[in-house]
Formats: sequence, C-alpha cells, structure tokens
Amino acid sequence: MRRILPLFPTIIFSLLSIVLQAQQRTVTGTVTSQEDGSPLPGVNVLLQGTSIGSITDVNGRYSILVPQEGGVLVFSFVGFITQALEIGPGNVVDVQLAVDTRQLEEVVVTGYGDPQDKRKYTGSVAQVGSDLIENVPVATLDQMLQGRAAGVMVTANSGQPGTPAFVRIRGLSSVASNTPLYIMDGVPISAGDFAALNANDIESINILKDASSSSLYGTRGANGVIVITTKRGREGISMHYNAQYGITTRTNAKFDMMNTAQKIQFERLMAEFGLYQGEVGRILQDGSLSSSEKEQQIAELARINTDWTDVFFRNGITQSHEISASGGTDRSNFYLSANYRTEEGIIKESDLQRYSLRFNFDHYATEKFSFGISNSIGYTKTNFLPTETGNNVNNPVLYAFIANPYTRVKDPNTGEFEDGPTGFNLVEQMEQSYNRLEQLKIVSGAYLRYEIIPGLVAKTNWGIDFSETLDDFRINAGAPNQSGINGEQGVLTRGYNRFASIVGTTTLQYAFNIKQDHNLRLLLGQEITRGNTGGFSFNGYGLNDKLGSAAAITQGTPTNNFIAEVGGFNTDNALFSLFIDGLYAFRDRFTVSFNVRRDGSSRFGKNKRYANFYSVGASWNLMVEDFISQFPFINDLKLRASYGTQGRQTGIGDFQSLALYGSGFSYAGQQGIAPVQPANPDLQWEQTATFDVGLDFSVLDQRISGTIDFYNKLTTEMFIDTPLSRTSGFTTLNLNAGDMRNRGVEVSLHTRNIVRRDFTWSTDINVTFNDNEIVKLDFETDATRETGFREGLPLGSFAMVEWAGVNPANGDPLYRDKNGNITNVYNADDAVAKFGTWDPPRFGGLTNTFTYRGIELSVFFSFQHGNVLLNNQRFFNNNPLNFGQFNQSVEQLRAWRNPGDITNVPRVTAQREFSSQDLEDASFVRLRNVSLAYFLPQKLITRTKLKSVKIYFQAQNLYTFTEYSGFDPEDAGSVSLSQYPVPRVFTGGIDIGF
Amino acid sequence: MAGMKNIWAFAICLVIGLSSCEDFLELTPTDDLTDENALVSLDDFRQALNGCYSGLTSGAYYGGAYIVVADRMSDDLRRSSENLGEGVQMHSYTFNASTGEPLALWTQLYSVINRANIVIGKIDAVEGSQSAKNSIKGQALFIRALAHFDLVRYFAQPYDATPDASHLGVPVMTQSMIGQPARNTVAMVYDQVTQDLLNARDLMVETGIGPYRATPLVATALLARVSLYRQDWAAAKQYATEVISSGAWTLATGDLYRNIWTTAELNNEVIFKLVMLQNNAAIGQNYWSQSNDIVSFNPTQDLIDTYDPVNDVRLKSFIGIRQPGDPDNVVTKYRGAPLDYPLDQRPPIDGLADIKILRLSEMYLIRAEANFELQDQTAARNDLNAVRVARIATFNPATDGNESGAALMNAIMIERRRELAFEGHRWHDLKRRRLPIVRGSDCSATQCELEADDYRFTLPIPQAEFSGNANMVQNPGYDEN
Repeated sequence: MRRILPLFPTIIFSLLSIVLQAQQRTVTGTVTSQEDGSPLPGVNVLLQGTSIGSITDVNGRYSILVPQEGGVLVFSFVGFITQALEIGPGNVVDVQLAVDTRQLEEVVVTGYGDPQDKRKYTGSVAQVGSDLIENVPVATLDQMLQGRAAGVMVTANSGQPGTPAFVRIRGLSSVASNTPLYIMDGVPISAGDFAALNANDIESINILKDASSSSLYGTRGANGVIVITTKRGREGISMHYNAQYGITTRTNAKFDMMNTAQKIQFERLMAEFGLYQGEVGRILQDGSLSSSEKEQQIAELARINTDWTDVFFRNGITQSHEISASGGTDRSNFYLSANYRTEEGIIKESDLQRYSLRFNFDHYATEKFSFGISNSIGYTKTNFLPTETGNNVNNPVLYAFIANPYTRVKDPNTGEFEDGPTGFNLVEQMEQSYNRLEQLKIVSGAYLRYEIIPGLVAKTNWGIDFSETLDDFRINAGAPNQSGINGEQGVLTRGYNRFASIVGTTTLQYAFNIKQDHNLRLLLGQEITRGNTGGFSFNGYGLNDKLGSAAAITQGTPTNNFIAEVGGFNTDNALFSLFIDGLYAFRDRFTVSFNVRRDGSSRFGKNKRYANFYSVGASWNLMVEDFISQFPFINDLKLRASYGTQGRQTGIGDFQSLALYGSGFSYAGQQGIAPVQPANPDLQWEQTATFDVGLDFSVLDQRISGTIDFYNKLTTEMFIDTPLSRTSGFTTLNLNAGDMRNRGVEVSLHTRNIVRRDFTWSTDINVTFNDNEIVKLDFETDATRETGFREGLPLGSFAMVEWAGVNPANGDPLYRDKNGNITNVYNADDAVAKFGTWDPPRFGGLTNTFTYRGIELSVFFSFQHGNVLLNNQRFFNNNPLNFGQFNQSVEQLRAWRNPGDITNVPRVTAQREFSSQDLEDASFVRLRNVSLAYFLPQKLITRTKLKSVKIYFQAQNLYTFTEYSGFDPEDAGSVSLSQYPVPRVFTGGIDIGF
Repeated sequence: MAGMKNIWAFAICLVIGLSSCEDFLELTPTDDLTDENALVSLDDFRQALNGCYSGLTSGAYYGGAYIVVADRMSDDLRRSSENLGEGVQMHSYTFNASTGEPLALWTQLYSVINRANIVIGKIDAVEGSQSAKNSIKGQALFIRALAHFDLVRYFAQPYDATPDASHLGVPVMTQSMIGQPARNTVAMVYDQVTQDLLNARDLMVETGIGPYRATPLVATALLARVSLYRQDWAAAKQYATEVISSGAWTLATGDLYRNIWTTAELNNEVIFKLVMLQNNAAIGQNYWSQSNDIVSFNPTQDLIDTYDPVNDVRLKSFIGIRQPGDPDNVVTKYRGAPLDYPLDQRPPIDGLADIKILRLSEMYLIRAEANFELQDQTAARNDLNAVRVARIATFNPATDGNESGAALMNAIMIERRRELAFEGHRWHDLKRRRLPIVRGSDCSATQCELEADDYRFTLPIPQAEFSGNANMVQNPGYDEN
C-alpha cells in the first residue's frame, strides 16, 4: 500500500544529514499546544535520522544544531501527536502540537477505582475521545456516539431538538430494556436525559461491553456501561471562547404525494369506481349541480396548489456560545464552562434552548489527602410539537402529507383559516397551542481520597443526579379543535416531576508489587443508591387566552364543566451493593483479573432479594514472547479473554413484585380501589453471561492498529410480559421466562495511511456483526403480526402476510396463504415470520481524517445493514378506499383500471391490508458528519495576544443512501409512521483560546 | 424526600453491622395499596365495591364498547361517510380472533369479575356490621352475575343452541385466581348467574339509594332479563311482575320521557343506571362526536321508519338531524345536553350521559314476550300496549293494538327495537330469537345481511386468551391457532 512511499524521504534525509553534517547552524523555536496555545515544556525535539536532540524549556522554547540545508525536526511529547517539520531556510521553527486523544486511551476508566493501564486490562472497552464529540451540532451526547464505537448501535428517535436516542450495546439483549447504564464522574445519571448536559465538557467516554468491565455494575451492568469523564484542569491557565452558528434543514422525503392536478384526476378515477372521495368526489356526487357547474367548481379547485410541507417545515437556526476556563497550580486545578445553546427544529413550534454551567475542582491538601467536586447545572426550555408521531390529526408531519393540495391555509379574500381534511386547520391549532418542557438538571459529585500507606487508597464518592421538569401542554380557548376538552374552552395541563438519585460509593484500593514482577491490585467497595421520582399534575379548563400562566384557568363549579383534575405520584427504589475487583499481572506478560458483586434491590420479589455476579478475565501480551520477534512488522499484540455474568433490573418497575391495589377507581364521586397488579414474589433480575475473546494489535510501524472482539452473550431469566388468561382479571405478568443470545464480531481499525510533514490521512473503521436469537420462550406466543417474540428467530422479527401482487383480471390485491398458494383473501393468520427484523444485524462507521498544515478535514459515514421497517405511512398514503379524502401517494396514479392492466397497485376500491409489501429494507449509508477545521497559523495570532484561533464548519446528516421509501430509514422502532424527521445541519464556528 | 435522610442513617449502620440494614431495601409504595393495607376495614371494602362499579363504567364495558359494539353489528346503525375506520370490522362482520373489540370486552368483563370476587372472597373476614357486609357482598354478587351474563351473551351461542344448553359458555370465575380455566357450559353459566342474583337479592336491603347501586329489586329485574334469555318464560314473567308491581317506578310520558335522556337525568322509570361524571367515558361520542364533528355511524332509515314520525316521543329523543338542511341523521340519545339544546351546538360535555342498564319499559316488554310464549296473548298485548300508550301520543289500544299470533310477536320485537334502540339490545334480541340481520337500502357496509345462526352471531374468543390459557376452545367458525 502507501506505507512504503512516505518512508523514502526519511531515508534520503537521513543520508543527507550524514553527508552534510559538517556545515551546521542553530535553529530555535517555540512549541505550543494547538488546543489552547500554551507553551509546552519538556517536548523532545529530534533531528530526524540522527541522535541530535533537544528539549523545550518552561517557556516551550528550544534550540538545536541542524545542517545548513534540509533536515527534518521531529517534535514529540506525551499526550500529543508527534509532528515532523521540514526545516526551512529561516532559523526559527515554531510548532503547535495537537492533543492525541489516542494517548488518553492508554488508560481505561471503569468508574470504580483509579483509571487502569489499558495494556494490562482484560476487558473489552470502546473509547470515544473528546475530538469526536466537540462541536457536533447535536444537542444530546448519545446521538454523538452514532457510528463511533464498535458494538454500540445508536438510532435517533426523532428530529425534535433534544430528544434522546435509542442506544444498545452488542444487540438487543432484553425484551424489557436495552438502555445502558450511564455514569458521569462516578455518578449514575438517568439515561436519555442529556439535553441539559453540555457535551463539550466531556473529556472521554469509555464504553464497557464485556463481563470483565461491566460485571462490577451488578444488576445494572448487562446492557453495558457508558462511563463519561468530564474535563479537569491542568497546571497553568487557558481560556476559550467558542461560538457556533448553523442552519437545520429538512432532508428530502423519498416519496411523492399528488399535486392538485394529480389529485383531481385521481378523485375522478375513484368516482368512476363509485368511490366519491374528497372535494372533487363531493362535487361529482352532488345531484343539485349541472355538469357544467361541476366542472366550473373543479376548475376553481385546480387553481389552488398548496405544498403543505412548506407550510409546516422551515429552516431552523442553531446557535451556541460557550466560554470555558481551565487551569491550576501544583496543589489544585479547576475547569469551568458556561454554555448557551439554541436550536430551532425543522418544523415550526419546535425548538430547544439550553443554559449550562460546569465547575470541576480538585485540591491536593497534602501528599496523601485530596478532594474534589464535579458539578453540572443545566436548564433547558424545549418546545415540542403537539403530537410528534403517529396517525394523529394533530401531528404536523402527518398533516403535511395528507392535506389535499387544493386546500389552503387561509382564504386569501377573508384571511380566515380554512378547515383542512381533518375538520380543522392544524396551522391555526398550532398557533393556539404549545407543548413546552422546562428542565433543571443537576449532576453533582464530591470525593475524598486518602492514601493510608503507599498503595493503599481509601476513597469515598457521593453524588446526586437531580432533575426537575415542568411540562406544560396548552390548548387555547380559541383553538379550533377542542376535542375531548372539558367545557371546550381550552385546557392547560401542567406536570411537575422531580427525579433524584443519590449514590454513595466507598472503596479501598491496594496496589502493590512484589519484586517488580508481580503487580497486584485489589479493590473492595460498597455502594448504596437511592432513587426517588415524584410529581403532580393538573388539567385546568376554561382558559383566558390573554393570560400566559395557570392564572388563565377558570375555577370549576358543578355546572360550568371546568372542574380541574389533579393527580400525583411518587416512587422509590434502593440498591445496596458490595464488590471486589482484583487484578494480578506478571511483568508485562500475563494479567488475570476477577470481580464479584452482590446487589440487593428493593425491586426484586421477596424471595429473590439478593443477586451475585462475577467475572474472570485474562490477557497475554505476546510482544514479550520470543517467537514474536520473527514478525518484526508487529508492534503490538495482546490477546484477551473474559467470562462473567451481569444483571439487569431496568426493565422492572419499582414495586412490580407486589400485589397492588390502585386508587382512582371512583364511582359516583366516591373513592374506589381496584387491583392493578398481581403479586410476583419470584420476580428477579435478568441475567446475562458474556464470553468475550479479543485481540488488540498494531502493525507496520503502528500504521495499522485495531481491535477485534468475538462475543457470545446469553441472556437468561429474561423479563417477559407473559400473557395471562384474562379470566384472572389481569392481562400479563412480568415473568423471568426466556433466553436470548447475541453473538457477534466487532472490528475497529485505525490506519494512518499517509503521514507526511504537512499532510496526514488517517482512517477509522468500525464494523459490528451481531446475530440475535430468542433461544427459549416459556410460553406460546400470540404473534400473528408484526413484532412478536418467536423462539428461534431474532427479536423484532416481523410476521406478515406475504404480498403477491395485483390480479390483472380484476385489480384485486393478492396474498400468499400459509401454504404458499396465491389467494385474494386476506387472512391475518397467514402471517409468516420470514421477512427479517427491525434491529440491524450489521452496522458501523467509517471516518477519514485529513490534515494539511493547519487544516483538518474529517468525513464520517455511518451505516446499518440488513434490517427492515414496517412503513406504516404507506398504509395511509396508499389507501384510497379508506383515506381517499386525504392526499394520496402518486403511486396511486398507477392503480389498476381495466382488465389486463399489469400493475402492483390494486384497484382503488380494494380493501387495504398490511402485508409484506409494507416491509422495506431499511439499510442505509449516511454521510453523517463532515467537519472542516482550520487553525490560524501561530504567526498571525501572536500579534493579537490570542493563544489559538480555530475556525470550523460541520455538516451533519448530509446525505443518505438507501432504498427505503419513508422519511428516514433511521428509526428507533419497528414501525415508522410520520415521525419527526432527523434534520440536516450546517454549522460554522470559531474557537478562540486566550 | 423523607427517605433520603435514611441514607446517612444507613451509612452509619453499615459500620455497625450489615444485618440491621435490611430495612434499607424494604420500601413501601406510596401510590398504590398492597395486600397488607388495601382491604382492612369495612370502608376499604366500600371502596373496593366502588371499584367494581367503576369497572362497569369503563369505556370497554357499559361506558361504551359493550353497548356500541352490539349496535354497530345490528341493523340500527350504518357506517357514515365520515367514518375513518372506527368499528368497521364489527359493522361489516370481518372481525376475527385478533380484532380489538372482542378482546376489550373479554378483558374488561373478567377484570370486573375479579374485582367482585376479591370483595366476595375477603369480606367475611373483616370486622363490621353484618348488614353492611351483606349489602356490600350482595352488590358484588350482582355485579359478578351481570358480567358473567354479559359475557355469555356475546361469547356463546344462544341458550337453545343445544337442547340442554350443554354447548360451551364462558369460564365461570367464582374466586380471584390466576389459572387456565376451561369453558363451562352455557347452562352452568346461567345457573351461576341465577344463583348469584338470588343470593344478592337475599343479602342486599332495599335502601332507596336511587338507581345508582344494586338493590334487591335491581337483582330481580336482571333475573327477569336472564330468565328471558334462557327461555324460562314463567320465571321471566314472575320476576318482571315483581318489579312492575313493586310500584317503585312508573312509565314516563311526553317530555318526562325525553328528560330521561337529557342532562336532567330523570329517574322515573330507571331501575338501575350508572352515574357518569366528567372523567367517565362519554358513550355518545361513539355515535356522534360533536367536538370533532364526526359522525361515525348514523341511525338507519329502516329504524327511523319504525317510529311514528310525529307522535312517537322516542324518535325526537333518540334521533335528530345534525344541522338544518343536512340530510344526515345522528344519534342524540346520549348528547349530554339539556332538553331542546340546539343540535348544531356542542353540548358542554359532549356525549356524556348516565348509562341506563335496566328500565321499567323493558320489564313490560319482557313480560309481554314471556306471556306470548306462555300462550297468554291478551296479557302479552296488555303489556305491549302499556309501553305504546306511554310513548305514542295518539296510540289507541282498542284500534291500534290488536295484533295476535306472529304479528303480535313481531310487534313485541319492533317495540323492543324502538324502545331500547342504542342500548345494545337489538343484536342480542335477534340472536336469541334466531333471526337474521337484514340491513336496509341505506346499508353502507361491505356485508348487509347475516343469516340467522351465522357463526358470527357469536364473537370469537380473543386470540390473546389462548396465549395464556391452554384449556381455551374457540367458537365454531373461527380459526383456532
């Protein structure tokens, strides 16, 4: 490959340097950090191909003897990317070194105990550095992990700013919940609640995937653990101002709806079949009109052609301003940041505003005693659409496509809103309503650390994850659709929720060596977690539209129908745990590790209160073995293996093991109670046993490095809502009743394709192949349609009746029955589960990064392959019999008309049923992010007293290659139905260090 | 967060010893009651009984589906042009074991039975006055009987499908349990229903608490209906007579009758009804949602034509024209509006009305039919005419009410149809009389007729039941999986 070429100059220069050694001169310069412009002391400066070298002083300055002509200086420093610079004719060579996030990955952060040496680590951990997270124009950090780490599948749920993504690690391993555990600076934080956290504060993310790494999290570890470490200060001081400005736009839908001319033509066609739908249908059916009057009225309609997507969609503006300061002395350090971010959605009335602050601080009081805090406070205000998904007349994404093009938003003569096909005008409705969420979120932790004797460290860390949300949903009295509202004079629904989780972790860690050969580390820990969620809500009626608060509500009386409804809730959980984590390493050769955790959880049934988990792991560094020297191209080779168990309790409610009676079953205004849940004293955690074997390698002068992991993950005691005979008065009972297996291969590669003085090209690839299968189910499934559970098939497999085209003789839709025979009778019982699953079995990402002098370009693709989605939109867009009064897809213009027509669209009067034609391949390759950054040359900025200036552009979600005909093949569920599409985002920004 | 301070206590107790810290994991729910504290006092049982009534008011039971599904399957409703698909499978008989409505009914009715069984099974152990306990237990027995009867009406073939009613009924549940019960025979279901009602009658006391709760006479009235369905004509006659001659109710006439169906909620002839308050299901919206201005089903012309358009008070009570000039007829029986509230104005609580389950006029019609079957046509005519005189202003029994033989029976059926329209009776009446559905010329369904005894007169056992019950057997005609 290209490996050899770049090496030639090196050899030539080496020769030259020998020849020309006689004539020498002195070159001086300053080495600074590209990140903040601060001088870097202690940097090695080496004349390439020689042993001539120098080291920078405290001010980052160096001087070195070099040949009179030519020569290359190599600058290297721990934590920074090594840079080679050709010596020009001048005597000054200044250089900026970029932080090497890969270097940070030399340690693994598991959240318990000190960071561990990656070379000796036995587990499988994916790491994402801050460079991949910074300035990505997405409000939530989970979406930033998309395509970045092998084994981690992330799907956006919605294009609404601030919404959480669907994250699963190594496949779906549970029916109940696949949400990983998130730990931020030692504090568990609630999953999917990231809008109030500023991702630019993150230093690194470690994703714990196998048993060795995640068993230590006991009953919460089975979905994997995402350990987030935020930035902390270093000696010195550096400040940054970062501003970002951008535009969000709509991606193009891959289906076409009819325009006015087409819809009129189509309504005439339906009328020919006796189906009088829509305005044209109504006109044609009106017996009181003469045929010329009919044509005249239709001609009037033809003059209107509204593109309803333009009515609801827009280009949104995003903006972000951030100021941060970090620094410290030899005794303490700090990191401080403040961020303001605003993001407009691509649909009107949806946006996000965020204000966040972070303060991290560490102080070393004595050599033995230190303490610190990590603090984040965020406030968000989000406007949501009244309804964001589904077949709901309040959903603008649906309305934009089903509204007839011959209807208008407003009558141009009167300025009045015109009723749409749903009986009211959604534009007017949205102007008269809002759906707003305000959240205050605090993640705060504090630790004390004391070194009792050398190597023996006691540490206690206490933290809180707290959030308070105020959720307002308001429909004004003046809104056209008052359906379901008491008194029909508007409603204000306000919900107040508070979530608090407190964790206290106390550990004792002892690390010591015996004769330098035997390294031991033992960690004993104890942890308690206490969670509480509570809130209240009310619906108030009879609104005064001029008042913006709850004061608008009219007090209810027995006669005015404005009686407000109030409610509230509160729930608790507790977890008590003990754990041991141990490691023994023999020199650099072998490592064995083990851990044990015992969890007691308030959620489990009386008979199953405590759970034990363990793991064992080993690694073998082959580089120290003699035989490896036969393969000089190998720079690094480590073999790992681990086996162990983890648990899962996220799928069960706080009091799910108890027989419960609920209130709220009142009759005639008197209190009433009724059973709501049967007792389930044997309810326990789900258990996952994971075997992992992995290889970490680096070859060809570290040009190619990577990791390969094979895993086999078996979930047992799977939570399943097991159907009950309804004669019990209940529908389901959550039992531990099944086994599911995920096995797969993960490959991550980092290649440095071109490494030249001023040009580099590197590539990161990660690919995951996951094979999911439900191995065992303890009950018979009732899954004639869609996504039931079926033994022997992957979770999420669809069962549908197979589509067999259209009968040319009469336009009937045709299906295949259970025996494969073609029939015109649709029978749901003919559904077969052979069309695949919605969970992608293959996925990954590909990033190419180019640097040229101060310019850095990164092009990132992510992909998923081999899954199908039920395109539910087609059921509405291609259903003239039931929905012909709404706009239809242009596909319908190809509907069968006359005997002999060969088409795949049935006659317009055919009953529409769900069948395999609605299942579509949802594989895609998406150009997810392109980012271009330019660091202004040091020469330019030294005059301005600034330390660094970086200008950058990012484009998110630029283009998608897919066969899928819905809005977006990236869909977190199995059924796509008019969901808020994920936007395309263009941003530009500047980062100034001073 | 009172619990949070426990953390510190816990952190301290950890140092002292682990065994004392078990309490940390023993949390008590604050939003729900548990087995330990739910049913302790007599008042708790009163609340549990309210929970049973509340189950009756559900939108899946009398608050909607139970009544509406039968009407949609009958010849009293036609699918409106505005209907987006709501209830169409039931209306056009394309339902199967996976259709939502049968599942909703099956689930909700057994849920009510379970609630009643918990009260019945546990109340004897509680401290309190025996008469109060009896009253609660009697009402729970009544509700259990009602739900079993309502299940067997929908999910089993009519009583006389086999000579000894030995065909499959529904599982009889007399205690709260999670099991896989097989279907009992129809005879066994009716026996249990009758026995529960007789016991209920004995336990309850006549309190005059209005028509909102079961009383001995309410149980008697239901016994009359149950007896009619099991073709025990003598018993039907006897029970109906007991109710009629109790004098507790009289047939309403004129505007008094109309006010039974308005927000005035007149109770003159209402034996038993469910109070429906602001947050209860609004049954009227199933026929006509004025808030959305969507009529999902119109009354059929066939039904309208059975009424005297001028003199029958019921026509204007039950049916109206949506807007002047709009040819669409709409069901106005449950508008949730005062008398003469303009039809083109949305009522304050659209479609909310008390659910009348037993009325005096039905007792007359039950007795008319029983008398007819007992070969006493004169008595049958008298009962029928009593209703007709009350409803039709110009009705003269001497000249207008002289039917006999088949014409008399037909007149009784027509009167049931007119009187009990949109109360979920028509479908069951045609089924138990083994008559076909013949929809009129304005039929808009894909199927406008259903032969007598068609298998679809019996709803399929929902597919979901089979997933949890290996002993379940499907009704004839439906695929068994």
